[in-house]
Amino acid sequence: MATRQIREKGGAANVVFLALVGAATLLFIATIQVVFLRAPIEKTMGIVQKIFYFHVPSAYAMYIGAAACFVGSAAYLIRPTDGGDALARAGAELAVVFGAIVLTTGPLWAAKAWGYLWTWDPRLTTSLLSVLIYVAYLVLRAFTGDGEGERRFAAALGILGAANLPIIHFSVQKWSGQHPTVITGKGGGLADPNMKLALMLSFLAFTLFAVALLWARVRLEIAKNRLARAEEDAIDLGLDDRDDATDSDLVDAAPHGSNRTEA
Amino acid sequence: MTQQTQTAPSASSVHTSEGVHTSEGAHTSGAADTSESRATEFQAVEGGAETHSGSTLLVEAYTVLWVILMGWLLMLWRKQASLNARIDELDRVLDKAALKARSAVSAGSVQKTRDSAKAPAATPP
Repeated sequence: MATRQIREKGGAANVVFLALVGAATLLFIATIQVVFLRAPIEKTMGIVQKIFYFHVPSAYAMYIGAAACFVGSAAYLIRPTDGGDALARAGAELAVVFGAIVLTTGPLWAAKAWGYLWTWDPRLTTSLLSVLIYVAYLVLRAFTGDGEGERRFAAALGILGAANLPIIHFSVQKWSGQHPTVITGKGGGLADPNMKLALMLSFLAFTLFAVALLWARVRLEIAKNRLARAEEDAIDLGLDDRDDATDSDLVDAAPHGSNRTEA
Repeated sequence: MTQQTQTAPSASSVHTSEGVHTSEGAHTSGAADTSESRATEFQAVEGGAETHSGSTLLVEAYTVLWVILMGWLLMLWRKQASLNARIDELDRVLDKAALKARSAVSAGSVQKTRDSAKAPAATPP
């Protein structure tokens, strides 16, 4: 009965995921069409301005990852669960991936617009700092154990990383700098309606793509935790004859103990 | 008999007894082809216009790129689903083994209790 419920739940998740990826694909195709065929070339910067339609939504997707890391970390500190920890870890990875896209596309644009790839502008510096915090999070998770203490420490880092996000956002207003401020609360400085359409479509496409990646990554992390627990149980039941060193690694990978052995 | 093309010939095309030849040298039709009328040499176009729009090709390239990426993501999802099914099965087997181990332990303890209950009666005071 329980197995059938899990299968039905899995089937529904498959349909939703398929719809999510399908919608993201169609939106990306539409975005590319509008960006390259309909949106006009910008008067001052020329064709390089079209990087904007991928650079800004990537930064937004990085915020989605960072927000997921924050929510997962806070949830884990309140009540330690595999789900909270998985969300935090997946969010941090997403933030690093999209942060890398931002830090690649930005300098390419800058090379044409400013004449150099990098400057220690407030927004650039705070963005780099934010990506480095999430890289530190992932390094911490990769090179330490997966015990309760390590998870709590990582959760604290995940919350600290999110504190930098408003600083990135308001850095342009507070400390000026060279970074353009096209997207503002007043509606933005995109003169042509096709420019606005391209940006909106790109925002939507990147949002769906980020959610799909986050979901897939959380599911993988949860499966990894379940497998570690099953291996630990197999050792406890005497079904796994691996040596003691391997056993201790596996026990470390499943921090909350086994339901089967506790039962 | 000379066959005419279905489309109306452009101003730059020339009707011949073998069909219609365009100004670019392409032979669009003609049933009475002879070996002499076929191209015997390929020459590079000088100063010709691009045959495909660069913008369209760019859009096509990025479209294919994203479709492949999304297809790969779906494939990963399916692989993960089968992995989850295997973990479900492993959990089920382990649950069964744990239950068997517990019942074996409790059966052992019952036997031990029985043995210890019988033991004092057998030994003389």
